[in-house]
Amino acid sequence: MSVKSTYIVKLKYEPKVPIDARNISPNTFTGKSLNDILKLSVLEGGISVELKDLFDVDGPSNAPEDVNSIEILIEGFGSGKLRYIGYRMSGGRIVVKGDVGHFAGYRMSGGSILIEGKAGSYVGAKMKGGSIEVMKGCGDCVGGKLPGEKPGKGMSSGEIIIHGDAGSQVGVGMKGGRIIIEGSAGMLCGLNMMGGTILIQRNCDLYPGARMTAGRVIVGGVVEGILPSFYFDSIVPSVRVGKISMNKPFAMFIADAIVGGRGSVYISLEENKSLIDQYKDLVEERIEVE
Amino acid sequence: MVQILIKNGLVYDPLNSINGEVMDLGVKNGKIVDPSEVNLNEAVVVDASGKVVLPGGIDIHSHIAGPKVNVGRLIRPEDHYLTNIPHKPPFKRAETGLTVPNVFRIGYDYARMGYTFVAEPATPPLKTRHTHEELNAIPMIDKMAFVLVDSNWIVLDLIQESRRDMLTAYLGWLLYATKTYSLKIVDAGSDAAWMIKGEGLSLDDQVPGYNLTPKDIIKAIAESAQQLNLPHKVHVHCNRLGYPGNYSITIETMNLTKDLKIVSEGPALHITHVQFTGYKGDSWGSLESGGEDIANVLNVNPYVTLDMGQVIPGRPATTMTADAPFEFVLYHLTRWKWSTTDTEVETASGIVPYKYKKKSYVNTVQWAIGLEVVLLSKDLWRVFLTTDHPNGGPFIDYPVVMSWLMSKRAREDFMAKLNRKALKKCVITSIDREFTLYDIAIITRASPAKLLGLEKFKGHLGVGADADIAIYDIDPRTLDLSKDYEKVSKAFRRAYMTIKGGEIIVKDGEIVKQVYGRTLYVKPEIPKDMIVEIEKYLDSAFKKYYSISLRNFFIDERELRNPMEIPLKTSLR
Repeated sequence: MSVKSTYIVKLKYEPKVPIDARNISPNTFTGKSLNDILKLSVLEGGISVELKDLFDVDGPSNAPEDVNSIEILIEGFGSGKLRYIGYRMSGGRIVVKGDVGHFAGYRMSGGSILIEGKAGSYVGAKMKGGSIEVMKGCGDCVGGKLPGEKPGKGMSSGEIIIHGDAGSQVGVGMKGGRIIIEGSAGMLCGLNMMGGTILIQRNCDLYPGARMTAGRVIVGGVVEGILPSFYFDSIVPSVRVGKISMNKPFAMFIADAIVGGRGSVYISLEENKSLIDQYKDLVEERIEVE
Repeated sequence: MVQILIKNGLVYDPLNSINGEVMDLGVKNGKIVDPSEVNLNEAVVVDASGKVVLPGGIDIHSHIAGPKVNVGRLIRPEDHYLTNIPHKPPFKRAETGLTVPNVFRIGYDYARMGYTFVAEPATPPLKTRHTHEELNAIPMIDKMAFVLVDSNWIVLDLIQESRRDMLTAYLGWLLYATKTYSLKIVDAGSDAAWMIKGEGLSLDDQVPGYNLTPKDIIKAIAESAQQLNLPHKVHVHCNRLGYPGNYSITIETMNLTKDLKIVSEGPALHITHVQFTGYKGDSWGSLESGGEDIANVLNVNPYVTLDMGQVIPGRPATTMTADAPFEFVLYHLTRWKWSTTDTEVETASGIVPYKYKKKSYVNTVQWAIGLEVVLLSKDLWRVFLTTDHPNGGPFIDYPVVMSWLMSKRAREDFMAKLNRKALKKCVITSIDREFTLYDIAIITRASPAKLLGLEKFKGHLGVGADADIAIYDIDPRTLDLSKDYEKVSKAFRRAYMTIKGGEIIVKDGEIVKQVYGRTLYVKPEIPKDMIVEIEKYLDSAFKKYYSISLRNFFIDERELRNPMEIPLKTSLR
């Protein structure tokens, strides 16, 4: 990669309404002069305004043609109102020095987004590639599909790392890719999942892997409850996701019989003794066999 | 109100037998007047030279309002994600949705296509208040609703007891009470069977709990419609819709007119979305098109009319019908989402999203049937263009259907993308007929106006008609409509200008003004003693069957935004 052209996009004032900032993305910046970039349209609460009305933009006077050499820094107080950051981006890099609103990285297919604060719901929804890193927590439906769509319309490739807690329905309808959550997750993570991997390093609320047909859901902490439609499969000594390996025993379940699925849900054995008690006979049987 | 002078347009007006004449049209006070009456100092002059001038389009079958459409919107949020158009103050509201659009898009898209009149074809009597609320909210177009009477227990009771005059009086009362325009029969008797036995009915099966067959129901209601002298008699959705081999039932239903006592003018039965009921063969695997057979029966039976219900392969659709047994079957084919509802006493319904696929054998046969029926019919005044929106496809694809009708090349180009095996069994490949603009004007303007009994003031451009005019930017004198079919469909999708009630509402395919049309309903004249008798009967029937009282059932005229009453002289004595 050659020299990076960095644009600093700074909010002029704290916005009072949500802002649809889907045009702040390396793909729309490519090949444009700074003046053209300043004229890009932004929806402020449904009303179309120009980028320069809301933001100060600082950077090279002509953006390069190559998407991958563009870096956008978003700064300013109140960036939590910015939605659709990195919409459909296919390369380059976006760094947000603060929070972002919903739909960060929606439908992105390449490049990377780093969010140094919190993110809203639908981080990386329907993404096809690239990577997203959120330093604090995020909202619901990370890497998910939109409501009403068929299973498998969620994230299909790429990686999302959340260094905090996530809301409910992590990876709803996802088909591929990897979601790593270093904190806890809410209810129904991996709902309608058709592939890919979700790793939750700490606790998880009710029913991970409900209605999943394929893929992996790994919970390293306490699980509030699992569905009765899961089959107990085996005890595994450790689980490895990419470079992260968790060296403790996990109970593996086949999920979810209600849709004839063949997905796997791994639940940490030590933290969930009471939950796995109901499978006690089966567990002991397997241990004896092994 | 503005005065408009449309100059040098190429006018097609089948009701006045004008076939492509260059002439001027004047508009004054919302009516069409002689061009000499227009005051040129005040008038807006529209130069329509090199453009086609047609009356405003009329759609006789499009599910645009009512509780089922709302449920369709609720269960299909994915229909609305990428189709949003923000509002544009001060007059244009936000639009969203494709197969189940919001009320504003319905009005705007019809106006953009040059349509100014739409009929909502099925509303359960009890929920018609909701239907009217939604119709009130739809801008731009004139509208009307047809009321469902097929499995209504009161109707079934009255037919069973052979109280035909009472039945006629009840149906007349119902039309006025619900402020609707015509009667709709969906799968006669099937909803009664669906509730009790969980299955549909064929034409000769017995309705459970009654000593009746669906044939008796259709006949009794059709005869009552004759007595009531309704402008549009009965709108029939045939039994066993969506089952292979049902074309024979459709033909049998069409032949029912032979036994009817016909006392008033006009066609006696309208068979709707005939594509869904024109399947030949024993199973889905051996499905064939029954379009040719149906067209042959249509050609010899002058009392029957029908509309296409064309499917659009490659487009998503949301099937919504009062035919609950069929939706149950369809849900188990698609396995995605299903909503089913039962309206007390009156009807059941179901909603299932569906996508017609180009390479699918069955969907290709369905595509062929609709076109075959229309292309093979000899009398264009008895066929109509519909997609049964949103069952076969969204109404915004009418221009594409028009291009298929007008150009053999358009059909051939599209057939290249369809299932070859299915096309081998269809007659469509050998049909050379190409519609002219005059033919299109008949099936989308003149004949619907005639079918609905509105030919005095709608569907034509003669002096005294409502000023509903559509101007399209095509010139058949210089353009080969058969070759450049894409230009034709593009022009029909975005009208150069649409005039509704004397106001210019669309210019260059964009909305420039929001107006609200009228809601039409009939008031059949029923003798006073019969009204007293029927209300006494209904009082007890409502106590027996309904959870609401008779007084709350009646929809008042002030609940309609712009009501327009059409009084009827009946032969009830």
